[in-house]
Amino acid sequence: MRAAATLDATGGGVRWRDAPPVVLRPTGRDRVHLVHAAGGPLGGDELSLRARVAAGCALTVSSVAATVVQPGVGAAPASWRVDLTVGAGACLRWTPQATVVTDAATFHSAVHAELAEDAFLLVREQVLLGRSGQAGGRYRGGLAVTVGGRPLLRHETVLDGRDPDLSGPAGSGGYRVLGTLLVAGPGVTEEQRGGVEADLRWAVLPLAGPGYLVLVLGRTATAVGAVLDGHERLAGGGQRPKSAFPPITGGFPQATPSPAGRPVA
Amino acid sequence: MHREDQLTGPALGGGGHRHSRALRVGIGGPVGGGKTALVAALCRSLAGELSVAVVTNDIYTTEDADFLRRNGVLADERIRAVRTGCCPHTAIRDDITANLDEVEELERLHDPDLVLVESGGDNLTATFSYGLIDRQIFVVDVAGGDKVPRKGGPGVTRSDLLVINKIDLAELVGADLDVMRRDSAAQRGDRPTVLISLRAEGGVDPVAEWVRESVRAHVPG
Repeated sequence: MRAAATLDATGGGVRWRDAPPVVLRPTGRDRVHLVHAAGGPLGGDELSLRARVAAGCALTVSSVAATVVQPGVGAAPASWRVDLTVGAGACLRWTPQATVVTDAATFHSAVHAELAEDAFLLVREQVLLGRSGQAGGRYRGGLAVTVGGRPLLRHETVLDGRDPDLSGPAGSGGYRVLGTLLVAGPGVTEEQRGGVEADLRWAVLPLAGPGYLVLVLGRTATAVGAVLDGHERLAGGGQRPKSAFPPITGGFPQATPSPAGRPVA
Repeated sequence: MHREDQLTGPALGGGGHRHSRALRVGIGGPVGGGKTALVAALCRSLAGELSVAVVTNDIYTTEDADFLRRNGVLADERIRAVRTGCCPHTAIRDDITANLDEVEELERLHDPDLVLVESGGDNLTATFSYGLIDRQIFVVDVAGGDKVPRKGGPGVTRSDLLVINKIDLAELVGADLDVMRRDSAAQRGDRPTVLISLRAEGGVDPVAEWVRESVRAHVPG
C-alpha cells in the first residue's frame, strides 16, 4: 500500500490531506494526532507524511497509540517517510507514540526536517524490538535535520533483534527499547553527559547547533519513556510562544521520571 | 482515497479558532464495574456547580446513554452515544474520531466545563488515548476479585485515578480491601486510588472532589 498525507499549519489554520491509513485529526488548538484508521504498517507498505509549519506558527503532531509493524507477504520492508519543514520563528513538536517492530518485520523510518534559522523543533521517538517475548524484527531509522540549509544532524540507527552483532554489546546491548529525543532551536543548549543504570543507559549529545540529542536504551518502554519525559520537560523552556504548547500528551503524562530523567546539576 | 480537510483560524497560541476546551475525563474499566453508575453519580454531584456533558460508548446499542437519560441526571441534549461496532478500546485509543466528533459537538453546543467520556466495558488493558481525553479514571469493583489491582495492566497502573467500587460487597464475596489497597499502592506509586461504594450516601464524593480539582487545574489546550 502506498499513501502520502500532507499537513500544513499556517496563520489561516491547519489544513491537511489524509491518505489512509495515514489519517490525521486535530485534537487541540495547535495539535494534530495521527489516528489508527487501519492496521499496519505491513511489509511492502510505503507511507509518508509531509508537514509544514509556516513562519511564527506552532504545531504538535502526536499519535493516538503505539504503532505495530507486522511482516508483509514478501520480504519488502514497511517504510515510513516524514518530511518536516519549520518556518522562521515557528515551532514543531513531533511526538508519536512508540513503534513496535514485531518478529520477522522490517521497518524503515526516515525523518527529515528543514528548519529556518530561528525555528524550534522537538522530535521524540521510541522503538520497541518485538512484542512481549519476541526478539523483534529489523529496524532502520534515519533522522536528518538542517538549519538554514546547513546540516545539523544526520543520524542513522539499525537494530535487529535476531542479529547477534546488532543486538550484542556493540549494538543495542541486549536492550529492547530505544528512545530518541532531538531538540533544536535558538538558545537550546545541553552539556554532554550520560549514565548507566540497572535497566537502561542514556546519553545527552550536544550538537554544533544549537541543539542536542538524547539517546536512551532500556529494557522497558516505561523506563525509557520516563527518561524522555524528563528531558522533554526540560526542553519546555525553549524560545517559542508559551501558549503554543499544550501539556505533554505522549503516553501517560503523569509518568514519574527516573533519576536519569531529572536534571543533573 | 484522499480526503481534504481544514480548520480555519491561525495555528498560533491564542488563535482561539476552537471553542475554549472543557476538561475531558475518560472513564474506563471492565464490564459491570460501575462506570455508568459513576457517570450518573458525578453528574448529580457536579451538575449544580459545573456545566457537564457526557459521551457514552456501547457496541451496538445506546444503552448507557438511555440509562443516563432515564435517570434524568443531565438534559438529554448533553448526552451523546457512540456505537463503536467493535471492541470498545478501539474507539478510545486507536481510531478516536467518532468520540472526538461527539466531544467537540458537545463543546460547540454547550461550552461545558467538563466532558465525561465513558468507554464501553473492556478488559484491564483498555486505556484512553490522551489525544481524546485529558485525564482518565479506571473503575474496577470488589466483586471482580481482590486480585485485580495486583494483576496490573495499564488501566490499573497508569490511570490518573483508580476507583475500586462496591466495597459494600467485600464481605459477601470474600474480598480483602486491605489487600486491594496495598496492591494498588504498590502498582501505582504516587497516583491516587479511592475505595468507594456508589450505592452509599456520599459514596461518589472522593471522585467528585478529584474531578473538581482536575477542572480547577485544567489549562485549555
